[in-house]
Amino acid sequence: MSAAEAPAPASAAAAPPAAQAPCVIEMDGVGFAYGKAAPVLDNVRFRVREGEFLGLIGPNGGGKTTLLKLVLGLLRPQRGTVRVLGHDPAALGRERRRVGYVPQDTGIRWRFPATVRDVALMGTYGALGLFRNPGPAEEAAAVRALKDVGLAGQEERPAWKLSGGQQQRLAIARALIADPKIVLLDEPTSGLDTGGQAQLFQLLERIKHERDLTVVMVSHDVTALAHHTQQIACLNRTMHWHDRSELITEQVLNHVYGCELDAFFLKHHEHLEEFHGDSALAEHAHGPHCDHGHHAPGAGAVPPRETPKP
Amino acid sequence: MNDVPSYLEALLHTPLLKRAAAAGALVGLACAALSPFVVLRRLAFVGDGMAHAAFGGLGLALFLFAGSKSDDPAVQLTMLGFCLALAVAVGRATRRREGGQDEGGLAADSAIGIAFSVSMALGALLITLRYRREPQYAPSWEGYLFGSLTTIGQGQVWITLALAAAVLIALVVLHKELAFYTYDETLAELSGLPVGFLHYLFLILLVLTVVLAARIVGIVLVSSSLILPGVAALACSSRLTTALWVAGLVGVASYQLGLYASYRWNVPPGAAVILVQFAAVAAAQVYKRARGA
Repeated sequence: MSAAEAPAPASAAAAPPAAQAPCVIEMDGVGFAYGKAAPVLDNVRFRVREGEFLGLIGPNGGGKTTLLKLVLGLLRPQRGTVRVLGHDPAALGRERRRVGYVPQDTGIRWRFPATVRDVALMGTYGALGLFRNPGPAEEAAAVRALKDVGLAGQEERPAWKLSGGQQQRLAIARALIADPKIVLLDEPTSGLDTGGQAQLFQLLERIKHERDLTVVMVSHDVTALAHHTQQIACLNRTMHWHDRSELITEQVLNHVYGCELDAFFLKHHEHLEEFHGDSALAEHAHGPHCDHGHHAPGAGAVPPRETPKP
Repeated sequence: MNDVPSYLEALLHTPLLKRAAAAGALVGLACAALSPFVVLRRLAFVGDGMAHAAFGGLGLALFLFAGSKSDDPAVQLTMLGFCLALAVAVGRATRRREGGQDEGGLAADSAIGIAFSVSMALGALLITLRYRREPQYAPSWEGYLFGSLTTIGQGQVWITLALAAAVLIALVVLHKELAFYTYDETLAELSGLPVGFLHYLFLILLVLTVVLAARIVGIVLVSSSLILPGVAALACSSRLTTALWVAGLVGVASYQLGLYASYRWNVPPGAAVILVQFAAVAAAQVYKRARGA
């Protein structure tokens, strides 16, 4: 078991290598429709493993935002199951804020009277609970989160005076301050120019590594996602799953964005070894299927190799 | 100009004026404390509608209790119950629904408009019926619409004190939750904040304020006090805490200046208060422009 003897990462919370990492998001046979309208999602199967940076593309109305809302527990599936960090998202309770969310419209649409620091600190309110106000620990976390997103020194500015890209990064800081395990971003690049988009991707990659995050990003920008994410999933009512950005050919895109909705899965694990450059991964690859035992909440179910060294 | 000393002299020695100043300050404070939230959450229409809807509750109570007057506790409580029930209905209509279906449903503002206009019509109808039944107890509904700041009893001062205390305690305890909920309801919910509770709590505070204050200063003045101090404060504040302080200041000061104007020029106090509040809005806009914000 070469993987078992592999040096454990220094950080206790560090993710195991991607191929054997547990699934942090699992959807099976998920169907959802708004009211009596045609289903937005139909028999969707979706897996995100711990530590992945996954891009989610698809046409407008293809169900991308709906999928995020299901993961967040804002919507309940009418068919199928959704599990986040091993739980029903609506039953995550206090763990719910382990799922950070950067909504599509992060712009402070009106003159909301709050400074950049105030907005970032809102990310701590859930953990603080009633009667407690942010103290030095929260202030320090705010400073760190704002520094992480490149907004250091802007703390006292009114939040609504920030540019679109800065507001986007402020929204990310607000999500980071709650110390999430997963961050979901809904079209964060839509209001940005090319330079801003590249910066945002660099920022996300850096934060992902520094904070051991799993990132799911909805975007229209296939090219940018192909460059920066490890995996791309295409959603148009059903899921069209890809593990390699290079596999997104014109033909595939036509297929997904077109009317044909037949699901197809490209095998997931075949490329992982090559992609991650870790020969140990191949033997542990589970393909697109998740081994639930790896993510059972009980400690006994966790394989020894996942136990971090002190 | 010896008007101010003579006004202060009168204020000290005229119980009626003293009560008006105290109740005005408290109502102004309670309304003003809520007003930044009312403005930011786009609830101005709800506050205004609620004030008018309370009239339906008044009509209902006067009709139900023979020989009652609008100041009777039974009437006040019925009115309050009516408005709280309406607040829950409004709460349901205005609560954001993820994944809800819109088919055939009414837009929230239309639903509110219907509820309030019908409620007010009901109030007018029932008061008329009551008047036909008991002409000896002619209820004055002008007093309810326009209030009578200068004919306030000591009991009403205590009511306004309790109201202001309730609003201020809620704001002190829940200010960060209300701020986040006002900023973004979805994100607040995802952070584990009890947004449903906050939503209804705020509406109930709004109803209590509207119903109790409308009886004392009139519907029109309550509507104004729930909106104008908030607009003025938000125009010149970059933080919510500052906005709350500025709104409170505008609220209290406008009632005192309005009362003074009423005394000095013998004009209706309610109208004077509203015009002072409008002056504050105008001044805040000028300040905002001057700062280049």
